[in-house]
Amino acid sequence: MKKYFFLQLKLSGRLLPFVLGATLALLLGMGLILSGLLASFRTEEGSKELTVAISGDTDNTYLQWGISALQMGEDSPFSVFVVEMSQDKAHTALKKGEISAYVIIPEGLMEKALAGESFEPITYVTSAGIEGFSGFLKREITTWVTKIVVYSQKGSYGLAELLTDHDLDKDVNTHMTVLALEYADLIIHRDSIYQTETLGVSDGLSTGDYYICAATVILLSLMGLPYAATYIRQDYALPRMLHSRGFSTTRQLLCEYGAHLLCMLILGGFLLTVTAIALKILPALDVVNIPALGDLVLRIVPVLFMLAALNMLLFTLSGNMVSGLLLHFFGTIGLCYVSGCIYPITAFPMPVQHLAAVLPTGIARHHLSTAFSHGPAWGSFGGLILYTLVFLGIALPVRIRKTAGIER
Amino acid sequence: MKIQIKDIYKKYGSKPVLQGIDLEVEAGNCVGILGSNGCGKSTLLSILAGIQPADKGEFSFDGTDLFRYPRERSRLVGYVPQGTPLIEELTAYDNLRLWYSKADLKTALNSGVLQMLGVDKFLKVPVSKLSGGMKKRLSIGCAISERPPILLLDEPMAALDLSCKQNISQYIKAHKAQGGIALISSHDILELELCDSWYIMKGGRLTPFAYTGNLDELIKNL
Repeated sequence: MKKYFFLQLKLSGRLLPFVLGATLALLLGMGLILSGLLASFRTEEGSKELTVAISGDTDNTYLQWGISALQMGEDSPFSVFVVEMSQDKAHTALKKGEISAYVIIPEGLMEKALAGESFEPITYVTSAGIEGFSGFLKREITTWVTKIVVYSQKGSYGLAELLTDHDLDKDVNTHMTVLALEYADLIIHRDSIYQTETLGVSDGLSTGDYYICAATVILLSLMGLPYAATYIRQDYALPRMLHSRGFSTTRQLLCEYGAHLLCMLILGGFLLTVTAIALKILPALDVVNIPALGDLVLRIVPVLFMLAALNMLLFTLSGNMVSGLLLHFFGTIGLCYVSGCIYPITAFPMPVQHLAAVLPTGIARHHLSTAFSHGPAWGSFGGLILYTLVFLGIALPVRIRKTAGIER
Repeated sequence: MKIQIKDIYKKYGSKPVLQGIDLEVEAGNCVGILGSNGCGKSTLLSILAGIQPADKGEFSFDGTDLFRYPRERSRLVGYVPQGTPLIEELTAYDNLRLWYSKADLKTALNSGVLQMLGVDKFLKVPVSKLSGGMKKRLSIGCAISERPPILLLDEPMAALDLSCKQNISQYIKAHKAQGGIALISSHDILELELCDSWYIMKGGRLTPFAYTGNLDELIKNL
């Protein structure tokens, strides 16, 4: 068994420089596409039209005027289209990408603000894909509240002058001091008038993090493609002879899987190293939150276990090189597409999203995403191990049949 | 020392391939199994080699049931399947190392069967660059690493040139001379001439055939 394993390793190792080169080219290409995509996304933010929903307590007349004013036009660099809708509807619309964010006005905000009382913070909910928009909205809300406070203060000083002019200034200075202090307090603490909730593109990730996970799954999947030359057999004479000498098909498959897995792990390590360097030198990728190396390694290893098993299954199913290459390429790209590795999964209809959650590449993407989101990873880890066993479990009887020549 | 094959049956789905194969071969003998394509010759050899199970039947060597004792079978039976049981990308030496220990390989190359097969002349060459004849000689060299007394050869000389055929013939003659047994599935006249007895497989059964060198008669019986 050891001899066959090392021969397989030698065989796979011969391909390693070529696969490393191909992976590097693929990585560079994908890195450039990704950095271009993220950079253009940030540039577009400055000019695109955004729809924001206002929900919550919007009954106040002054607030309605304000909303109407925003709907008529505003002077920020963004073109914001404001619509009113219930919180539930706004939440669904945000998930579907129909709106960019929604604002929840707390109960009695206007009344409390005008009376100078403290009020619940305004909540605005946005997806991680428009982080720049979050900053914009923070500024807008802060400016808006500042203006309310400043104009109210002007009004109160004007009122004080009016009272003094008409000799009604008993205790007016004391009241003015208290009022001024309350306004000062509101202005100083104006940042606390909002709080942020981020839904994320998917799995709670920012666009950059999401695409890094998705691109990694695509890269790791395609990395196995050159090994078609090693593992696709048209002639089962060697497995037959090995079997006749007591070296069972199960052991043969495990040796080949082990050798392939080892090469995939080496390639995975190479990929991690190059990606780490790329993240440092490509400024367009600075939106990515780089997780700890240990976290990444722990997430990538089970993904490679699953993908190596998938490769073995696809290569075993293939009858010749051409069909094998086509099956592997379209099979993995198809799986990656449906799993949201090419477009964000939230852009797909719900049935596809449910399907993606159970597909091997979907589980792989989710498993990698837990390194960024620090979410629980045991479920996806179990899914990956289960798929590894299922793929090898299907490959084995197919291989046994082919070795025995029963597929004729 | 002899092998006994008794009442072997095999079906693929509902299609019967072997329907009661009986054969007995004494030591130092070579048996040729003839038959048209797809008649079940390769299936019989693969069953005897343990690649697939028989639905029914016995295969014994000197009273030892080789279907029951697979370890014994893999030690006693050397099987050369159709095709190339080699790793094309690696050298002849790497392929031999899969089957031989370092010391045994050295002995076999210096004075043993591998030298007789002429394998020592292309050890460093990748298998993909070897001719069909060289590959077949190397395949036989790999199959006999344990010096098995029983050889199962599935069309060993198919599409080889004359000098390669002669090389393999010499090895089979030497194997017989040492008391070995060979079962050859064949279409080749040279292979037929190596054999001591001949059987024709037809309808899943083996029928003895007295080959006299008359090809017309042989073709009529296939």
